[in-house]
Amino acid sequence: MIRRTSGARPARRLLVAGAAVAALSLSLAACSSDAGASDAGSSSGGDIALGYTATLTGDFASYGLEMREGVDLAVEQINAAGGIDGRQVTIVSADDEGSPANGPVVAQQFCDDSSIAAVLGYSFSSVALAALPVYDQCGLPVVASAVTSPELTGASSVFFRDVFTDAYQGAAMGEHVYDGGTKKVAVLYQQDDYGQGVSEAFSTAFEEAGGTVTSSQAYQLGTVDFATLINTALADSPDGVFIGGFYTEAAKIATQLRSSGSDLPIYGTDGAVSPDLVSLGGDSVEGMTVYSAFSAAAGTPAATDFVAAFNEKFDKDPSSWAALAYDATNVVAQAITDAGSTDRADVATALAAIDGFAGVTGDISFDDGGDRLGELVFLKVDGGAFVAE
Amino acid sequence: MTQTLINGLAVGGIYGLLAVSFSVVYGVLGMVNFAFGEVFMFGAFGALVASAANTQIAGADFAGPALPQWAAIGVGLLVGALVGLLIERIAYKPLRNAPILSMLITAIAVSMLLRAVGTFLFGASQSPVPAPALGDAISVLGARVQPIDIVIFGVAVLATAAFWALVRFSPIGRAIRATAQDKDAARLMGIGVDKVISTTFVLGSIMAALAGILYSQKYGFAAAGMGFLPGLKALVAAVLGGIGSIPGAFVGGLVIGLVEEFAAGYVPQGSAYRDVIAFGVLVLVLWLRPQGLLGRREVQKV
Repeated sequence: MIRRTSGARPARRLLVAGAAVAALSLSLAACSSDAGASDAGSSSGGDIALGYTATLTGDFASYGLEMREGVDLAVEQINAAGGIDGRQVTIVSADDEGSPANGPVVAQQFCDDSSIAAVLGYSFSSVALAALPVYDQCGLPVVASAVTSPELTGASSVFFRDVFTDAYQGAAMGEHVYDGGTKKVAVLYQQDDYGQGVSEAFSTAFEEAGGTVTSSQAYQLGTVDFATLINTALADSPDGVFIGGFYTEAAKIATQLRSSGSDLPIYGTDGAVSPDLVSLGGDSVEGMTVYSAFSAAAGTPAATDFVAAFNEKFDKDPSSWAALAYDATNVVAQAITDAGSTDRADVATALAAIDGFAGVTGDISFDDGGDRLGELVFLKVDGGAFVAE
Repeated sequence: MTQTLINGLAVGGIYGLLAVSFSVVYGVLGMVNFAFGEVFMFGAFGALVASAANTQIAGADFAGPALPQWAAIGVGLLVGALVGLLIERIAYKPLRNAPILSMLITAIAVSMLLRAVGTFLFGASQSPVPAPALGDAISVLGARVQPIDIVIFGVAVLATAAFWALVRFSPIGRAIRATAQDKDAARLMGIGVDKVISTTFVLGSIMAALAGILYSQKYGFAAAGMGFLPGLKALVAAVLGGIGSIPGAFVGGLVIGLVEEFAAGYVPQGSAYRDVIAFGVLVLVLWLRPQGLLGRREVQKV
């Protein structure tokens, strides 16, 4: 299962640095533009290569390694079924080391390798942002699986992602909570890009649906004492409490909310989806509702088959990153099949046209900004485990 | 209002205990032992491991002794005392006559080292600490009071008073005060200064470990990094109260705890800025009263 620590949302951490490097790489890419702009990839016959890049070493390596498991499983299945139009699929891997400066370098490497038809992966939004100008130059399409920054929305015509943005997920949760009968909600959120972004989207959607946000209070990551915060939140007698933050704080808020005598329903985000939520929160998080892009417990036939195959290959349950990368790989394979060639421009066009592709994380389509459209999985803590609602 | 007051006193009691550790060691050594935040952490883990039936240390599973709560707390205090003694013997004793800057840098290094050791032993994520069975919340003047908060405040007051009495009235206390006043003169009077410093360190470490145990029980977790922020706040509290003064340190802790909770409750979006407000109070107090709330004006030793 995926563990979310304070560093587990690297996507946003390096955003500013990423923007700066993106600007820099723009000028660099402009210098070397004609090198990558060849009609590479249109050659037929031989293996089809897919680029895979993510942070594969260091503190934040787990996302990249988990995505790679999903990619490997998908490639294995595609090749076992005869490949794409009879051509076997291979993976060309590169480590971006979590550094935005490596974004353009890796991108250029992929662009220059004419056998590569599309690129998968990306752990950090900042790295992807820095790389986009290079992909724009050579027209190489990217389907990313773990980067959620709003800055990537519409940033490039060849960039797609099958992970939901925080804004999309927060809004879906807002509607879900209102539809569940909770009309007044007190919001507590982690004071950073993640907590703020997801809570704003939640609040906006919840109020548009007709609900009332009674109060909205920020807290710092690492806060342990929520007694006063909870007091203030409960003063307006809400029907429920929404926590836009990670599991460490969510567990403490739940515990302290319960010990203050309140039995209001608690709603969380994907940041709270961790076995540690239950081990830290115990009985207090029972019944808490959260969402996730993928859950092994979701129970759709596609998800069940995937979990079984994954278990057989890796002897463990897939994380949501593995599931998203698995879907991204299959979407790319579908797009190459649809395009009938590995020409990069044709593949990009086919990706944009993907509509309702049945993945293990639900149906996949991309909007004009390259963002994922589809359904979230809502989960409830029941008997110490996350089960689909 | 009452609710906020009680929250503030409970949080402040923990800061106060830890502040006393900083304060007494500063008194005898003239330096800040940053590593008390880590003694705080080891105290909490000592009690946790002692009370658990099975635990994971450095990734390997061990059968814990599953001691009853009171005995586990004793083990936690003992672990704290031991860590304190080791820090003093290994890191600070060789630097007894070194410039104060060397000691400060050593203190920072020891703090980081111990946190790394804690991460190695207990992992980077938070370990759950079962809540003590103290019964339901009780109602005081319309506020819901958690029994743990009353216990924390009571224990903090008693421990600080006992510590103060020890320093004030016992022979070892007299030796500690003499050492704090003038190390060389104390040595000439036949006081074993090294032994006094070690004793002070051990006593201070027991206070820090006690604070760590109470903290982990109140918030339900222990983690390698748990002592960092409380350590910083306690240091602020010690300076605020007049560093070197035991009652001052405790009062400083209460002030920081109360300011934090009232800031969180009454300043718009105060919960996000409670740390800023707490440190702001420190700046204000030091500007108006450089020697701290209960401190004596210090003559700069050259």
